[in-house]
Amino acid sequence: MSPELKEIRKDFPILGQAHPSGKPLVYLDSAASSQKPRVVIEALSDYYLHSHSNIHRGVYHLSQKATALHDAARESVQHFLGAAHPEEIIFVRGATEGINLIAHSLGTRLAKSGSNIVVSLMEHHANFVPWQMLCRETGCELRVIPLSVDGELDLVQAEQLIDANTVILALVHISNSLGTLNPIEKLITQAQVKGAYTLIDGAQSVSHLPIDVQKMGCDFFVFSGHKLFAPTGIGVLYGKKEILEEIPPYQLGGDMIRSVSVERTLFNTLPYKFEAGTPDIGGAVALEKGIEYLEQIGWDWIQEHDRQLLSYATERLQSFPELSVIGQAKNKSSIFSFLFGEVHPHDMGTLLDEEGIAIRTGHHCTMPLMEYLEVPGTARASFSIYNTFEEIDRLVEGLTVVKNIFT
Amino acid sequence: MDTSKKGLYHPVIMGHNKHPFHFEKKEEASVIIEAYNQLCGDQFKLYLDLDGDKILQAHFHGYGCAVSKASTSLLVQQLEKRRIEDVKILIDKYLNMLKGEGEELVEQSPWDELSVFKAAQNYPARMKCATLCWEEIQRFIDTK
Repeated sequence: MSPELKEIRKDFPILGQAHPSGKPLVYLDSAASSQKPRVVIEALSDYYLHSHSNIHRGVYHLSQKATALHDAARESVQHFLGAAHPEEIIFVRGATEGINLIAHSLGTRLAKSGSNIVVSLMEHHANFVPWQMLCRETGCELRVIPLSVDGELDLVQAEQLIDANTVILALVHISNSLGTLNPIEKLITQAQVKGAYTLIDGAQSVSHLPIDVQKMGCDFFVFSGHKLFAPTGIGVLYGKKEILEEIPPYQLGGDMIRSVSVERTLFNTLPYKFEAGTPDIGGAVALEKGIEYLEQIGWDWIQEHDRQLLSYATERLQSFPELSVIGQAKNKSSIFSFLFGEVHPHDMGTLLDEEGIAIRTGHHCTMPLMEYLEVPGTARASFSIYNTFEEIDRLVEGLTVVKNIFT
Repeated sequence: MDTSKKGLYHPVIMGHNKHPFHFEKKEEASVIIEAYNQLCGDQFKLYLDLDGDKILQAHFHGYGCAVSKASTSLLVQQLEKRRIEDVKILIDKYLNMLKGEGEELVEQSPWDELSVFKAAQNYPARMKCATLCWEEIQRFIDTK
């Protein structure tokens, strides 16, 4: 283990925790949620110990302090995503809420009979069901980009599916089930040429590669803080200012108004128009710390580490003849989905847990993809900055135990 | 791992997983009951041939983990030649056993084998695997 990795592991207190089996914990489920470094946990605790009050309109010191922290967090996210303006950053609960916001505020205006919305077969339910429901309600057509056997988008089909009647292209950046890194810039350009809006689900990508929304050219980008070393309950919707200004709010209530009388309500400016009610202030503050932590480590190190882990896992795990890798895209993130002979993923998950190894098993909220693959689910090991080669060795040992029990 | 006490992968379960009882499709059966676990996608069809209130034959087919497959295999084995009212009592006893409630069951057939599923108590996320088809048959009886 490199000295850098040793230091990183020390930053995550939970990784040193004993598993009930008595074996050291091997956490291989960061695609579901990353663990939290001490700086993030302390930032959250510090916020509540020293800075909490409700933001905006408070004229007292604490309220101004909390407001300033919340504003600073927004600016950090802005720089992290390469957005042009801080008001293009809307704090939401997570990627799911961000997508629902756009489906509601923009989608309902555009979707109608004769138009179509394009998604892919590898979408997480969060970027599938809102569009499916919208289409069902409006008569709009839902078009689904198919996949190749390796789990890559069929770009020839995609080009045909995105046409002059496409109103929205909603696409996952990195597949949570397959690890596929999609060529989103190319598809965003195709959609823009046809006059469609574009939304990118960055839930998996934000912690694995640098994001520049302006360079990417998308209209919307969503992610969840909890996959980026921050707490659960905070997430981000990025949207181009000129579009967000035009579309109506998602939720109504406090903070999102300019004035209210008995007769009528005027909405607030961006970003507050989309942030009804008291937001997760502490979560935003901790998210800023998560971003800071990731940037301190640096993308070069993170991406090289990811590449090495995926390559080592692929090499070691493929030594089992009965193991089949699900998702073999050329451009792939450090997500390793697999089947193991006739062993049901849940049996694998339970037996690996007895060895102290946490992996995810099931459909990974991508049931249309599982249906296409003709499997009820897969086992998935996903890696983050704190994972080691030794942990992959432990997974191999764990699978050997599984194999022995099932043969 | 101790497979004889706490572990879920007892030889009885592994045996029934590998060689399930009456594991075949019987689409001509007088009653077909479907069981589906939306959490994991496990899906079974239970085929029953009834004569009045007696189950003459029972078969099953489908896809599931070792625990759900074995628990269904043992269930199917127990259904045959039983009257519906007896099946109801059996299922109640089984489900109560898994909840840790009800009478302490004597160590004789079928409870010598069925009691291995008590280990599911140590695996809350897997409890449904042990009860899936049992609850479906219970629902069928209750709505009959």
